[in-house]
Amino acid sequence: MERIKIIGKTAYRYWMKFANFIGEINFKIIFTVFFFTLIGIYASIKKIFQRKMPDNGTFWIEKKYGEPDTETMQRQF
Amino acid sequence: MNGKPTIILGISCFYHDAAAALLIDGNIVAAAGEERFTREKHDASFPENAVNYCLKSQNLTMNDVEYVVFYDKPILKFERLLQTYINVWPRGLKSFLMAMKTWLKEKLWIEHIISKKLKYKGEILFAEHHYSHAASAYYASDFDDAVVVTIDGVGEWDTTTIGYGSNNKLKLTHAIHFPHSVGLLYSALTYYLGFKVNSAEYKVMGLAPYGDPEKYYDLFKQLIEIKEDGSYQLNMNYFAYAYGLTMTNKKFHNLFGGPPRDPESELTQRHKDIAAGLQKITEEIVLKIVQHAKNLHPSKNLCMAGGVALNCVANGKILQIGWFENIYIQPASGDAGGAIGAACYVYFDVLKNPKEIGVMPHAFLGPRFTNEEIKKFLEEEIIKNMKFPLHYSFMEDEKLLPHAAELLANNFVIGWFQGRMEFGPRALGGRSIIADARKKENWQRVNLKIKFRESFRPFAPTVLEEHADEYFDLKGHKSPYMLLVAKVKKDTVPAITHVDGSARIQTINREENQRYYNLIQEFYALTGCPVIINTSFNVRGEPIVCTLMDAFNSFLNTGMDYLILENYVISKKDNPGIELFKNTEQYLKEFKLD
Repeated sequence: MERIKIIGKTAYRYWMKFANFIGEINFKIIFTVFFFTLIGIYASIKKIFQRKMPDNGTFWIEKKYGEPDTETMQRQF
Repeated sequence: MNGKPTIILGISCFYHDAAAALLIDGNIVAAAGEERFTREKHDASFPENAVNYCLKSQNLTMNDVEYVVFYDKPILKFERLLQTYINVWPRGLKSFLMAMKTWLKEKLWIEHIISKKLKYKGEILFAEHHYSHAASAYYASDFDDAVVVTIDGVGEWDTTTIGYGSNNKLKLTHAIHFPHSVGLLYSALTYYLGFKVNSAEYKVMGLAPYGDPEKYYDLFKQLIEIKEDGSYQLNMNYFAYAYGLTMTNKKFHNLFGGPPRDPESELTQRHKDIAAGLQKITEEIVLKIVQHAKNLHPSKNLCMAGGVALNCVANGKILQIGWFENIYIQPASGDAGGAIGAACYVYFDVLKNPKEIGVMPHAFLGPRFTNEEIKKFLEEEIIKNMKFPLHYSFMEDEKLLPHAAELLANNFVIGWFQGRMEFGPRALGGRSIIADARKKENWQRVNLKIKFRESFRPFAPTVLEEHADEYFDLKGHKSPYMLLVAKVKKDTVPAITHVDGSARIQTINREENQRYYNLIQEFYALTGCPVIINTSFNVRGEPIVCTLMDAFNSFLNTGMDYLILENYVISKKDNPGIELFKNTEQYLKEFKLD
């Protein structure tokens, strides 16, 4: 029984290593495709329609203020 | 009121300088950086140890905590990240893949991580990054109102903000957005000069006085456009941080005449001149920002926070100009201080409690050890476990303080470990290495034999507050957190006088740290000099010591002559066998160079 446990644990360890390796490759493929398709399309459209901001003599951006409360503070955005 | 105290836990982590802070009824009662426990400098990991310390120090558990507040808004940050990749596309794939991995694995699940790691079921709140910085300075100050300026690398979108605080209302009114950032400009040059980003910016500041600020100034003008109102825009053609794995790009290297300096290679005059130019332009921007902030929100008080607020040379310039009667700079101005700010913001702004004075009267918010614990440590850990026949002595303060003063006057270097550990990057007399400031050779001696750091780095002085104006051009201001640089007026303290005749000053009074004050008072009575060297108790790359074992190891493996742990005194002279236990090489290897 003990022997089976040891074999099982070793097999699990190697399987997880392999799974992580495959996961890493999957991740890179999927996100590279995502980068060149969705982000690429959005970026290309944005570049076409982007207008240069006029020089207002300042680079300060006015910040909007909202009264903080526990409800808005629960938001991560 | 049901009499139950309002307990708020502030957390900052996942970028650099993870920390936790505990606020009870509007008072900061405990705060610590995670690095002090894990012994990894600027550790960004979830601050489990720091949280545990904060709670344990007040005999609390997570069940007693009403709110946990995280110091920024992760989704806004993630949005900024995606927008940036859209803006720089098709560049940035490598950086995008790396960022997505950490974000999808960890940073987007902060709420879940907090609940799981802390076994917390209550409300988790999120404060904006720059509101956390601003609140850490404004609410920790004793001002009724103040103009607030925050400058750092980047938060969600903001990199620089201006605002105003009045009673329990803090409003940030103006901002500069990423990728334009003074903090990142400074970090980019830190990288270019061969130092570690988000870690060694202060070295660049220390290097600057060796250089000619005019030599590269015009090149810096090509990097950044500065308006009269202090707003600015970087010329992103020269920077790679928005899309790459480095801070600067080839165009930048061509402009400055070569590739980045290899870490640990020789520092030439060119590097020093670049550092000087950077410091000059940084000061110019900071001064313009502060002036504009004062115009927008007239007040006699200024509060500052954010990593750039640790630029004490720029802070000193603000002081010299005299725009403000009072200046408060949060001692933990970097991201660690965001933990304090986030908690304060909820207590005062969100829960509408009136602003009080004395929210953070000092920075001694970390762990402390009693004489009983020290005796136990020496007897059990050192003598019994390490089998080291240690000779040590116990002295009451009446005997110990004059004795320590005499040791300093006789040119011995002391590891001074007393009271609670400081919160923030500066050692203020709780975990300090102290020496005689009158002996010039101590500058090199402490740098090379005790701190094992670059010889150009200057040392800061601690001066008795009542004598500060005799020695330094502080114009009557206090500098309790070592965040102001001013000219040294006398030539009798060469070990703390930088090459440009300035010093980064810590003033001390009896209320802030009675025992440390009394020690310097004894030194003054003995020598007529109210100034000593005070540098952090650590070696290069090591976080400041936290525990007794950290302090003992540092004492053992460096050229320190004495170690004073509260009322216990250990000397190398009385323990000649200590050399056999020393393994400096191995000890230094434990810490990554910064």
